[in-house]
This record gives sequence, C-alpha cells and structure tokens, in this order.
Amino acid sequence: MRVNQDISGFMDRVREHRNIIHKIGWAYGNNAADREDLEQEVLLQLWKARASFNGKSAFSTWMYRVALNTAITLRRRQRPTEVLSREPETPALQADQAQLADELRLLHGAIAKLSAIEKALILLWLDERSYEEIADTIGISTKNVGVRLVRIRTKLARMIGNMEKTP
Amino acid sequence: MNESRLDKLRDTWRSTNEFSTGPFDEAAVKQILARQSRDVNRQFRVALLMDITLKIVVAVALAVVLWLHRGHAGLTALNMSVLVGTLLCIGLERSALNAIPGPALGGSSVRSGLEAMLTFYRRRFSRALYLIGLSGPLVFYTGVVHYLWYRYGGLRPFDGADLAVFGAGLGLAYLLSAGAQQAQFRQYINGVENCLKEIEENGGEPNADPAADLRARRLRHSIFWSLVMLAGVLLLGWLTTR
Repeated sequence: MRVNQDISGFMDRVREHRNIIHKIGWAYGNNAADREDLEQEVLLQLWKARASFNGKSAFSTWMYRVALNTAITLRRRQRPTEVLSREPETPALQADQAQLADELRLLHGAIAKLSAIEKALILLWLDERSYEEIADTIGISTKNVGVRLVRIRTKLARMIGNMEKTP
Repeated sequence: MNESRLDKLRDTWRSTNEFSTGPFDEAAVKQILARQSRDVNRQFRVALLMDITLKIVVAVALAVVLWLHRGHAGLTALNMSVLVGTLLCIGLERSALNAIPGPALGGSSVRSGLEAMLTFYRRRFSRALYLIGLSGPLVFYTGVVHYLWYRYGGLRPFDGADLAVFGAGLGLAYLLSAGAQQAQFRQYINGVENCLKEIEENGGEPNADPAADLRARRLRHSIFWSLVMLAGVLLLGWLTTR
C-alpha cells in the first residue's frame, strides 16, 4: 500500500517532466526498440535514485542528471541504427507534421553521429538550459561549456549542411 | 550552411509535441519498476555473486576432500591451504560487492558518476576479476582430487610429467577463466574511460587523466600473461617431444 503511494507520488512528479525521458530516448536510442529500452531503464534508475533528490536543484535538473548518467553508462544491446520520428497521427495536419518530422529526422541524423558527451551537451543546449545548469550536470566549468558548445554547434551545422546537400 | 539553420531546427525541436506523450500509465510503470535493471552495477553484482556461490560450492567440496584424504599429511596441508585461500577470496569478493556504487550516484554530475564507476572498477573490481579467475583452477583442482580418490582410492606419487600436465591444466583454467571475465568488461570500461577523457579534455583539472594508470596497468598485465602462456606452451611442447 505504502509502495503504491510512493510510486504514485513519484510518478506525478516524473510525468510533469516526462519529456526529458523521451528526449534522452530520442537522442541516445538507435531505433524504436532501443529507445523504449532506454526510456524504461531511465525510469527505473530515477526510481532507484529517488532518495538522492535533495531539493537543492530543480527536479528537472536532477532528472536530467540521472537520465544522462543512465544513457551514457548503460551497456547497450547491439542493434542497427535507424532514424527516429513518430509518424503524423492526424490527417489534417499531415503536411505540416511531415515537414516537422523531416526536420527532426535531419537533426536526429546529425546528433546520432556525435559522441555520448557531445550529445549530452547539445541536448541540454537544445532544451535551453543555462550554462550554469549544463556545467553542473556534466561536471565541467561554465567557461568550458561555452567553448565546447561553439565547437559542437559548428560541427553539427556542418553535418546538417552536408546532409541537406546529399539527397 | 550557417548556424541560423541550426537555431531554426532548435526552435522546431522545442515546439514539437513529440516528447510530451508516451506510454507511462500506472500499470506500465509498476511493471517497469518491478523488473531488474540492466545497468552495469547490477552486472558487477551478478558476476561477484555468481562467483561467490561457485567458490562456496568449491569450499564445501574441498572440505570433503580434506576428510577423504585425512590420513595423508602432505595433501591435508595442501588442501587446507587451498581451502583457506578460497575462503579468503570469498571474503575479498564480498568486500568488493559491498563497495559497488549505489544508485544515489545517478543524481550526481555525469563526470562524478563516471569517475566513481572507474574508481570502483580500478580499485576493486579489476582486482576481484583476478580472484574470479581463480575459480577455474579451483574447480579443476578439486575435481581432479575427487576423481583420483574415487578412481584409485587415493593419490599416487606424481612424477615430473604428471606435475607438468597438472600445472598446465591449472594455468590454462586460470587463463581461460580470467580472460573471459576481463574480456566481458574491457570493452565497456574502454567506453567509460573515453567518455571521462572527453569530459576532461580542455575542461577539467589540467592534464588529469585517471584512466591512464588503468591503461598502463592493463598493458603490463597483458604482456605478463602472454609471456606466462608462451612459457607454458613451450614447456608443454618440450615435455611431449623429449
């Protein structure tokens, strides 16, 4: 009974920021099955590490840390890579959503070529996290976050440019 | 291609509702939370627990050997030493088991998490792997002594060739057992080292490379065991052709 209450309370908080789990799955998963596996493992690790949340940082920051630690250190099953994007669900919005899906596919294709640490940095940048928060999450200095993000963004922009040129 | 395109993609990424939905209903969550994790700490734990169990079985078998050969003073002393060594290994592996980083570390920075994992591997688990490797020779030794008792009712005096074959068997059992365990984790630890190295490049404390020591030690061990194996093969070749 107590466990059920704990799970319910914990899940209410996680649900508020569930997009973090899906973003991690999107960035680190090689395909749909891998993505689902990773998201479930992140949820499990969040549950196991729940006692480490001490309220000093925002719950979403803590969630990002646990999720990134899980994504970077998990021993993965070897599966082929595929581009990830859900298919549009509403026919009336198909044209818009198809374009959106193409853009996300393009971005995912470029991010998939980055290293695990570069993915973490760019994911936090995409999510408009502050440099301080990124530094705190990764464990590097704020100055270094700026230097690295410039480098990774240039690399990512070049890769996207090449992908757009190649049909 | 300029970075404004990237900024546009970032806006698209932020505006999509792709990440706001997902199968996190209560029943599914309970099912996920009840399952076993696939994280590496659990794999460290399983490897140690399985080996401790195997060594306990070996210790019981050795106790039986001690009783069977109780009239043979030399063998009793040898078996007693092996049994004490086995119990010592069990104690050390149990201590490594207790040192596995807890799940609370998940809430620390990526760098702290990787450092804690690498420190545990370097200080405790890589040493424990050598002890885990001893299970092969221990099973071989205990099996041979049991076999000789049930086949011949005791041990006959060993000559040089017997000792060489017996020694080669023990050596090979160790190399295969330890080698398999090392190979299982090596690729993974290489990945952790690379991530940590990448974090520390231009960023952390200057010139800090906690992985360098592990790499150097690993190279020394590889060279040492390759030489031991080569010597064993040469010895075996000489004994069989003389």
